[in-house]
Amino acid sequence: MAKREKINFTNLNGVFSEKAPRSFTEEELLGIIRSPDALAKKGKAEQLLLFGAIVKQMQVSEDFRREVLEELEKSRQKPTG
Amino acid sequence: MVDQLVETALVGYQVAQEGRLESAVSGLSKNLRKDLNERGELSLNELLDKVYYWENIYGEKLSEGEFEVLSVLSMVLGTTKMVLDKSVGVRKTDVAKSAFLESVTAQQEILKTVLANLGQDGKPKRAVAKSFALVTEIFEDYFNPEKPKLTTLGVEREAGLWQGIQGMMTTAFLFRESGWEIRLPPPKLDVDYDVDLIVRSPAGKVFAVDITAKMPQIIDDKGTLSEPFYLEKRGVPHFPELPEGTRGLIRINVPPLRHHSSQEFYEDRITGFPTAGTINKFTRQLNT
Repeated sequence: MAKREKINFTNLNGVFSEKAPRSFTEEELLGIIRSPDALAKKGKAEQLLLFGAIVKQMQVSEDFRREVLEELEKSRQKPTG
Repeated sequence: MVDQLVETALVGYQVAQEGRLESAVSGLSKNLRKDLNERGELSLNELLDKVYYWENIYGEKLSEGEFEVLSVLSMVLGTTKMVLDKSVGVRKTDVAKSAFLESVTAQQEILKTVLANLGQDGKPKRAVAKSFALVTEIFEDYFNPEKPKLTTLGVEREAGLWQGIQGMMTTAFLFRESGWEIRLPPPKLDVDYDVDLIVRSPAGKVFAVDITAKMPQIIDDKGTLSEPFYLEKRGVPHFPELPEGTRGLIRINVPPLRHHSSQEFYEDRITGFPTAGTINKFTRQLNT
């Protein structure tokens, strides 16, 4: 018989009180632009979280946006293999 | 996993002005435009098609900056996919199930992120929700490659990653506003039995919740259509791995964004936060 997993209901706020699964620094986000190999090693869930963070950060920080575009320009000079 | 019926007729929003997106395209660097067509996850034209479609569904236009971000992400994903194809290859066994599990895990992680970023009014921060809505919907094929396609009465039915997340968010808010407690189930429960949430009533009764976002369907030979929003209570499902003491299953259908009723159902169609009228209707049905 399959094992039944207990779900903790002691906190009345439930899912609303959970912490965000991840937060990222700008450097981590730029690392993804620099190195798609590193992104390829991550699961889809984390990739999505990273991408959501990149979209948000590019909207709010002109410096970050410029750095992303610079990194992208640098990466096109490198071979992808 | 929340599913939906795909309809070709769109909600009657004004179509985006093409000239504005052409301006966004010309704002991209020449190199970026060239690279997108050569090795982007989506080429420039594919990206434009997706953005037009997104704008029609949500009734709002993207800024040039948002279009630029999507172009950058298309490049990053295109390169990532090349790396994956070379290093991992395609696994032939159990691909659908593991992809499903990955999609459900992604849904839950994003749900937690959005719900951990509520504003002072207790509603989701729009910019956070919109970032995920854009990424998941524009790059749906990358993030949800094994979406199941079924045929119901000749209508294509497929799971949409963001519609799934939004359906869970909306339902979580509806239960919260009704004074219930909400938990996420282990992802496997969703994959195997479509259990999206576990909820507990103020009286301490626990229920599994299955959320869908189906278009109304014909339910009799007179051509009567089902309601776009409904709530059904059922007995205890025979699912192993349900939490101890589960008293039943609640099935909820929220209007898909492609249906006109979604305009009255949601206060904000990006975040999925329901209107006060929707909350009242839900609470009445829940307590019946």
